Amino acid sequence: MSRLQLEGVSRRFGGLVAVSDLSFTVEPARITALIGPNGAGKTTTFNMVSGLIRPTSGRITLGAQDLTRLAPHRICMAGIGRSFQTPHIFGQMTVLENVMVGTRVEAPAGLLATGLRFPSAVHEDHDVADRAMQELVFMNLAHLADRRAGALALGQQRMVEVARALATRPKVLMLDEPAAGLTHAEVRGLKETLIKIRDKGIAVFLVEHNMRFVLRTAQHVVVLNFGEKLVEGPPDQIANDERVIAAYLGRGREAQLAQG
Amino acid sequence: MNTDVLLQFAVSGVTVGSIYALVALGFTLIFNATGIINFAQGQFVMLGGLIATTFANTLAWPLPLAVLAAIVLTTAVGAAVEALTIRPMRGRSVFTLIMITLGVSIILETAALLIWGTDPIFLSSFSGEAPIPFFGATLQPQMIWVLGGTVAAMAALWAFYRYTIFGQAMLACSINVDAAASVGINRGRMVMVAFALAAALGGLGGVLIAPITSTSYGIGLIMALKGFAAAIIGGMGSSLGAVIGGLALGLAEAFGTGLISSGYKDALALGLLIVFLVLRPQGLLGGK
Repeated sequence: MSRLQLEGVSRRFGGLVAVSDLSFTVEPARITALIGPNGAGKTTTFNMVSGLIRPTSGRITLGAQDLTRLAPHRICMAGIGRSFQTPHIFGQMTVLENVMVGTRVEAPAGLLATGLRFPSAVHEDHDVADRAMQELVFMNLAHLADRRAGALALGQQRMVEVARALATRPKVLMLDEPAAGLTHAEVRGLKETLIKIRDKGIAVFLVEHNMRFVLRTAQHVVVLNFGEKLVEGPPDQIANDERVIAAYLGRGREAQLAQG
Repeated sequence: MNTDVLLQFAVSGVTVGSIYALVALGFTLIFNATGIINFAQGQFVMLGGLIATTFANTLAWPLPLAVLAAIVLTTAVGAAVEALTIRPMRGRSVFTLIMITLGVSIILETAALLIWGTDPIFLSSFSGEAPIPFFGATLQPQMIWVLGGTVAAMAALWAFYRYTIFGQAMLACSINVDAAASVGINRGRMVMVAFALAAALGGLGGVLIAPITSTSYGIGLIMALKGFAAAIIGGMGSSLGAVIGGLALGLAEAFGTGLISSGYKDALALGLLIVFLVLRPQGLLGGK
């Protein structure tokens, strides 16, 4: 299995340093969380890995492959799947169609050959529709397959986005604040889902604000502050780290950290 | 004024409106893929018609073959326009790209002037000239070709979006570029396909209308303006809106010409465009 590695990655926007000399590794079959106060550079880091923003300097690799200068769709083909902070689903399409669009990454070269088939089409195309359906079953979304994706509740939209990312068969699944806006029950379900995904051998990499969720779900936590890595380690170590408590939560608020 | 005359206006309005609808659909395709207004869109109509006249009149090819060749070549020109002028400028502002399409429009028009000269050229009708009575009005057989061709093109486009993976990928790209890229969709390729399809629609419009109105090097700009007006009236970005806008514009022109004066034909279309831009810029069907 291949690991995602950031080596000395920096990004400046004009005079502002959003991310500075950041290095860490996202291991396969492990849930890694990137946390930090607002503006710490978490989403910038995500966007650099998925190719929406180019690093000013540094290197990002997945296994032996250098992703640093690749276009976003190539990065997806290399094995990076992602969700967005506000769900970017294809609202006018059905849930199944959303996920089917994810499966097409499988045949990048034969696109014209396979893509223009008129299978009354795609719907009877067993490879594509079945694979998309499998992802929906895996995510407990099968009952929503024919619903218009834009009409779903926020939590369901997030899960559709995860299913769509899984359909690209990623080695690394990146989730930008997957727990935001979810109910308590949905958050519990999310935790179980992420563990199921991890147990397939996929590297789960998330940005998250919900500390309690992170500490209970992740096996490895990277803490960012002002664009720099403050510390990284297992959750119990992070929860008791003086620097994290001072920088991330402010003094006198340790109790909050313990309770989430 | 009796109803037969009004029916005749409606028939010619729908015919011309169909062509506007094809041009407006071309605008919509490219707008959705790139956010730009392709002012060279009308030149594809001009090219389709003129290329067909060369094959059919000059080279004496059978008409169906000439028509097919004209649409294929126009499609290739559309793809080439994207590859040579739009792709190298990726990342530039939308405004810059729109100016480029205006430049391309002038280049294509000038090239056509050098190749085909200034005289209007007719293409022969697809199936004869014998008028067909239609209630109190008369239909030219070519009008049925225009309607049938337009409906077929729309159905094909709808099926392309709805039932092919490629079409779904294009739709995904137009809904959200970043999300489409995150599932491996190559936006550059989608943009090229959008230009090729838009050119194919324009070329089809050009060959369909050439037997009725004749064609010449200079019809592109006004076609682009009419198609743009139709797209705005219907709601830029909406395919259904493009069709409705095209038909509405064609009907407004036909009735305006018939009831007031043919001198106001273009003024009426552009006046409607301005009214919509000021009072309802999102068009009849809302959209972006």
